[in-house]
Amino acid sequence: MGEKLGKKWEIRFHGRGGQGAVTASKILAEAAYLSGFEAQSIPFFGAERRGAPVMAFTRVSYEAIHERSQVYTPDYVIVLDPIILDAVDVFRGLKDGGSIVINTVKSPMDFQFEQGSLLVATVDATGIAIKNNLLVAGTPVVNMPMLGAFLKIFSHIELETLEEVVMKKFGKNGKANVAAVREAYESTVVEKVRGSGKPSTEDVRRKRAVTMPVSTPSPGVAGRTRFWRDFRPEVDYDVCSNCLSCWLHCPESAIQRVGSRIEIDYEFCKGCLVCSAVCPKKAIRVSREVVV
Amino acid sequence: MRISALPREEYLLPGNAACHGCASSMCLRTVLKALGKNTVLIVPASCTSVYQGMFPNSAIAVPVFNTAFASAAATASGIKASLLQQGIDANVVVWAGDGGTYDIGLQALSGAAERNEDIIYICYNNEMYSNTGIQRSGATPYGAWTTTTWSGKKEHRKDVAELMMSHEVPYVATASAGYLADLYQKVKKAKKMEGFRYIEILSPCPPGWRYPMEKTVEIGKLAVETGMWILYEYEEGHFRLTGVSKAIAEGRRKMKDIGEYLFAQGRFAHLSDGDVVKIREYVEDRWRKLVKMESDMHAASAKFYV
Repeated sequence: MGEKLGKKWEIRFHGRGGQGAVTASKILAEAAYLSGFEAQSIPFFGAERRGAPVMAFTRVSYEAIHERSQVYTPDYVIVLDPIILDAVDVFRGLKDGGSIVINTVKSPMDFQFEQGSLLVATVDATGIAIKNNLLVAGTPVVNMPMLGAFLKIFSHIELETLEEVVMKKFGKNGKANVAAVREAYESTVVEKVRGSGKPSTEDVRRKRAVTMPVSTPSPGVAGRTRFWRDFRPEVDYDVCSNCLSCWLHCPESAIQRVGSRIEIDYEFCKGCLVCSAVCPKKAIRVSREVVV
Repeated sequence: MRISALPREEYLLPGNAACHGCASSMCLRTVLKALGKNTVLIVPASCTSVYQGMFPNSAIAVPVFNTAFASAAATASGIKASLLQQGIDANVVVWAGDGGTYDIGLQALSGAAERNEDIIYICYNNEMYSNTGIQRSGATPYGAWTTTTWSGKKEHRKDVAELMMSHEVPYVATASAGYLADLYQKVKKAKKMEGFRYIEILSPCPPGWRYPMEKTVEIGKLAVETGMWILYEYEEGHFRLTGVSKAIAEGRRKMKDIGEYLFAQGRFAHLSDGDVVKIREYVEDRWRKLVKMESDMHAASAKFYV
């Protein structure tokens, strides 16, 4: 059990609306759960509609899963649609040494990517779906054969467990789906393929874009705000009683307490003159700002 | 309290993108001094989400989580739950405008108040959507000009602070940019309490209210002195007026005429005599209601146990 602690697999599905990526993600999670794992299925939230590129995510783990986010660095990617490869970078974030299952008539060696090496599995799921008459409104529904193909490279779930879940889910269409699952499992070709191993600068940029942006505190986020100043407040220290009213009311944090007196930070003071207005001693003189 | 007793530490850094004489940045600076370093700020869409600056820099020196307009109180609830789970004790504080409080964020606010989430919700109320160029909000008072109420708003404002009292949360307070020491003390008090705490600050806006930028504090004071804005605290079921509002209610200070407040601002410049009468009646009614609420509160025990 020791080596199992912390072991977790993240799976990302790519498809187009209507191909059943979300259903596949749910069924995989259920089969994983029945196999004794903790499991989670998350659909992609966005403008999903029939035909548009969509994503879904499954997490399978030996321990409770606390994340609720999308999967950004998957161990496995399942591509339900052969055409989507031209529109979407399905390899994005896939871990080096990870695996990808693609619905295609091509062979694994035909794919190029930036990871060092990947296990690439290919299967003609569209052909299998048509052969088994898995069509909804004319669209071949490839999700179940793709799960069958996936189990070829993911050995932690028994094919029988998946078939059990599929039968339960699809009722009278269960048999056809189970037949497609098994046919895909048996016809999937798996090969270890070497990639370029060099991420492009474009990819580096994309990766940065998906990490959470965290800002760091710094003065001058709006630049040197002294240039906003039309009028310049100046303290007459002979009159100033150091009551700190100006310091309290400065909207800009541009009046500082330095030792026993206050000083105006002319780098950032915008010249709103609130300090002058609140001064009970009228100790803050105002003059026109003259830029030299 | 003595101003010198306020911490010197600045958590709102100079050179931010707030307008000249902005009451929101003025109040946020005071609020952060009261809250201290151990604070997480949740900011929905508002002026603050702009004047805090753009990635990768921030003008606010505590962790800030920017969230969607509708969800500040829900986000804060989640962050509090997460910190609790991790064993981190920190002030979780929403800093939202009136748009994110009165209108778009109202359901999340009401939900969090009803669940008595252990957070502080601060609404800086500038009575309009200032950030997007001055549109009316549910907090805009009767008669006020905005770009969507060209001839003056035809309805009175609603009152979310009173709505929060009817949620019976542990602490509700109102404050004004005219009285920053009072604001500081109210935030300090809220910080020591547990459960849902709501503070609403009247936050004058020079470009939106159309008054000279240096008069922010003066306008904030006039609002209270004329009864347009009433300072109070509601604490564990007890309501009491505070500061200048209390002094007026007790007869120690005379209430100024509403005109002094209204005609100091361009947004009310077009008001007719009839409009002024209507606003005066509204203010007087509200005064009577709140003063009665305070006296009823103290008379309550006698009534119940005769």
